[in-house]
Amino acid sequence: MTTLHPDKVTADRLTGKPTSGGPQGPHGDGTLFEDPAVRTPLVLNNRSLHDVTEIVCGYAENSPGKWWLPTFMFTATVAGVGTLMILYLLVTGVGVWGLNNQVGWAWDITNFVFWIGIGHAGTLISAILCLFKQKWRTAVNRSAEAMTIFAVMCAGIFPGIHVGRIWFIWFVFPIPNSNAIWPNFRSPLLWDVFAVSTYATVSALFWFMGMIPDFATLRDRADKRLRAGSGTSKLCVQCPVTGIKFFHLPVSADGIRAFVYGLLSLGWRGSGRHWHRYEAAYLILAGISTPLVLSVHSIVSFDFATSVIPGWHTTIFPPYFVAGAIFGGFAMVLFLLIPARELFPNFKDLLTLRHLENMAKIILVTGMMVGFAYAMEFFIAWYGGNKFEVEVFIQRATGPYWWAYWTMISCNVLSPQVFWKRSMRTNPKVIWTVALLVTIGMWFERFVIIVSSLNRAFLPAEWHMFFPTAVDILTFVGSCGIFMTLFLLFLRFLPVFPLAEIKAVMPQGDPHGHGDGGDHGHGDESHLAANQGGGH
Amino acid sequence: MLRRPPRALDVKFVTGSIGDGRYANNGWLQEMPQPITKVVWDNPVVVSPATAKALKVTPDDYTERQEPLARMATLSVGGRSMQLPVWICPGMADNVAIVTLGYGRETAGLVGNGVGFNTYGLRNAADGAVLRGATLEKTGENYPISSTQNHWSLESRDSLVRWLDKPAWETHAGAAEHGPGHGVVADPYATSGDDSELSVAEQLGELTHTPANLSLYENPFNESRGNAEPGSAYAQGPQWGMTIDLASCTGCNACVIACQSENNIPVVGKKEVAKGREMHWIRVDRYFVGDSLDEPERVMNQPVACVHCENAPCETVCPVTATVHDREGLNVMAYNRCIGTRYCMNNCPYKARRFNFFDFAQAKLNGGLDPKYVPEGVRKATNNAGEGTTFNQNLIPPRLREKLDEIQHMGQNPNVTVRGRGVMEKCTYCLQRINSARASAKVQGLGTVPEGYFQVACQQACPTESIVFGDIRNPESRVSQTRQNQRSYLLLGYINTRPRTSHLMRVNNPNPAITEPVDAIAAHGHGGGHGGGHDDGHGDSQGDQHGGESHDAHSFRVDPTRQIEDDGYALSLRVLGGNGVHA
Repeated sequence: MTTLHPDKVTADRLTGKPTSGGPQGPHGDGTLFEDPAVRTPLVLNNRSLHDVTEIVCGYAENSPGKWWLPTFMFTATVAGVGTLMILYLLVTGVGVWGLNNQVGWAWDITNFVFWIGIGHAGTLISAILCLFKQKWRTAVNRSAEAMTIFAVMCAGIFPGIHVGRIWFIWFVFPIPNSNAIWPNFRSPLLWDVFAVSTYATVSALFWFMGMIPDFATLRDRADKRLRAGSGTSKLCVQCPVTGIKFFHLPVSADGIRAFVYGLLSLGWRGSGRHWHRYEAAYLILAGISTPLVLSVHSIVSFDFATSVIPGWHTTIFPPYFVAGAIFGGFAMVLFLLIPARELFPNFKDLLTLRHLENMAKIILVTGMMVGFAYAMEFFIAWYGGNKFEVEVFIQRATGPYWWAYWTMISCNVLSPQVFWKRSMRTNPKVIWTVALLVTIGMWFERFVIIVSSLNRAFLPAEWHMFFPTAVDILTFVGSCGIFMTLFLLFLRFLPVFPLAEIKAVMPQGDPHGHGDGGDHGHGDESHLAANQGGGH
Repeated sequence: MLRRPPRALDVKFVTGSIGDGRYANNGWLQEMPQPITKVVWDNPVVVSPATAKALKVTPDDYTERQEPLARMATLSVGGRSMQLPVWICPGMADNVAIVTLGYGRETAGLVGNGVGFNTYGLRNAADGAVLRGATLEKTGENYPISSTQNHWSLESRDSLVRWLDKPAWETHAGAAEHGPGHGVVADPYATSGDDSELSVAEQLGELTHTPANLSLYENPFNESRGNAEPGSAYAQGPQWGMTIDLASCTGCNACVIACQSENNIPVVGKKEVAKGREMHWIRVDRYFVGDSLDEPERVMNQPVACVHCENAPCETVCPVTATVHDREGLNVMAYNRCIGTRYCMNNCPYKARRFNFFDFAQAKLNGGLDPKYVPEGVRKATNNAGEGTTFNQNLIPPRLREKLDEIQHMGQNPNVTVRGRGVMEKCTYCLQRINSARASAKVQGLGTVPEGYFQVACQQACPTESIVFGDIRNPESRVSQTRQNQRSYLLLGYINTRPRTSHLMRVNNPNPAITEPVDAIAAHGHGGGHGGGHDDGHGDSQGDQHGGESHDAHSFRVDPTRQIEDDGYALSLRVLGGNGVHA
């Protein structure tokens, strides 16, 4: 990585500030001021625009450190175990899981809902916060979107493999066929197919489109180095112990970068017209994604809400699931980015404590929303006067799965309460711990909803426990491995921050010289981005 | 309750489903849940919960592991002793141990070898069926037991299995006119205003508490037989239905085995049963009723199969339309279309659906994909080849295999599809029998299938004729009469599933010297939420009939104005309702 040269002079000239360095927060770490009229900057240490480019592109161009390869090998192995488990399942039958005739769904759909929920933070950050012009989103949106894509990929695995006859899974798609049989458009499972595939498509487009200017930057940097003759050393395999290089490849790293990033950047040249269309498309995709944030998990919740089973048959599910998804999604963002913040150099300048604090606040709010939903489920069960419903909820809290229920309550409702205190929500270690607990709690929430309802349905004669098998557990662990592997690849090879958008919220990006730019009407991201452009 | 361990037990020797052991090689009978205990593939010693507690041999909680662990104990009687697992059965006399004979055979055949414990060694030919002075001592070892039903209690859900004492029944059903045990609704087709009474059995359920199921959506299938308009979905052809009489059901399981043999239902083995994967399409739910499971008042048996809901929750949720309704009111499965999402199974309130988690039907005698998932008996399959050796079915030469397959196929009903792995299945109301009856009735020039032309398998096997099947559209049919019986109720009918199978509640005739008869209807709680609906019309005549009980009696009437608003719901009740409540 190149040594950074904070271009303070340029920055200060552009912002009209004295050269003392500008506001850094009371502690210089991006935490909020006591004075609500003053805002901390979103990028710390008076970074110049060039610095930002160097930092972000540096992640994609250099090895992030010695920890990366072992971690990657580990998660890839876990992912491989998961894949083998899936293979075993497909060859042998769904019976290798612990399901039975009373509890027809357990870990499979729990995992599906869990991963789908994780994905919601990305869409919320990229779409809704974009429309609401929440500038702090720029530091997290790229990685949150990446996380969304990977989570949806993990989520897509489970409905696919949970069916008894995966070779007929194409029956769920409305494909014209000689039998003239259509799928059942009344089935919430079919709505899931459409909702999740739409969501996956739109999220992937959003993610990819946002990266195009950054790909172009990476391409141009590689190209520049190639032309300057500095990036032409051929790739080789190096012995990690002795450092001896062998097996030289005929291409250089920058040659590959120029080609691959060039391909991905789709001919982006950073012209004003490109930026204009880019901004329009970005807004359109944000507009399309915004209802998806609400609809996807609503539809997933219909799987349960439209059924007749006590504990599932409840109208509170759509808002409850959406709140829970955002809750779990933000927890996952924090869970991933806080370690990244420690492991990557200069990451903290772009992802400041202010960002973490904002997300901690969202965790607190959505955590209380799900807590309210948990309480309302009990209240309505009692108020509705349906004894089957009442019984399910009593059994949920006191029955054989009480430990799952109370894990859920303590992780999801109690643990975020520490965020009432500012010192807690600006302490990355505390935030990370809570994020981990919330992620666990949200998995248990889905488990509680699915299993503890099915195993205490109407007829006591058919009450049957669910016990997970090793295949159940390893398939889920494997899906975590797949997710982490993909995320590590993302951190290593793709632009982790959106360059243009970050630059637009920096003081230099504000042509009117209003400094932090968060509190007036002119700092429109779109024309700022157009002014700043890519290709640094 | 026993305060301390009994000094001696009485041992009662009984035979179970495999008789004296001669049927030990029959997988159906091995996997048939033993009446009351519901244990399969084993013959534990059965004692009362209090005795088990006193002897410290109570089995493990079923919530802790897949196969509940029974305690091994040494049963010694008359100088002979044997180690056996101990299982409990509420309602048994204390200090009695029931020992089942016939298990534990060594040369029974492929299935029966080594299943259970050979208890013949505990008695000799001179002994009778009861021996005294036995002792049961815990050995400290455990033994896994599989049972199809892990829960004992009805959990106060009286509306699932209903019963009434005879005096109350006579009061409410007007049995004086119709004769005891009948009480058939006089005019079930009447569509006039005040025929909206619930049958006596329905008065014991949730329908008296729940508001009408109002729907914004006019379901074209919400036309029940009760007022089937010409052209409506259920107004033509035979409409099949079933009633199951809880008063005459003895819980013998004949229906279970009849169904299994008729419908090619596979045997899954002890381990799979422990996981809750038994495949029986009809099951006999057993509930112990009373304040304490240690001393239950009675045990109720309730056969439950797919009830063929007119508003079937399973049908709407299947993403590929693999389960649909046919014109004769059957909820049918299209096996070829099923992809096995199991959503239907989850959404079935009766949990009547069964999933092929493995290739149960095919793989069994062909070796299977994974030996672990072949039943215990088959795994040991040695067929006289000696203890402990395993016989790998895959080693059979192909031509011999073909012959064996042929023999296996002969054991199956050619009229019923054999289901493969990953497919959902459930009771079809013996669709193959309906179809063949329809065909032969047509060939014989009879037109529609006449009443009594055929029977479904469970009905045919039922020794007490508690299962009645037929065309509920035909007013002459037995099923339409039993369906209108005052004892008839729809299991979980309040969800508005509109089942085609209705259950007839049990009427008890308790000896007043032992038990005071209870009027369960009068005692049946009614929430305050009925509003003003009870003040109108029909209340007056009812009040006169029932005298002092009038207030209670009409408090469970359904508000007729609500019924007019909601056709589907009201009509489904009308099938069961009628004027019979008017004494």
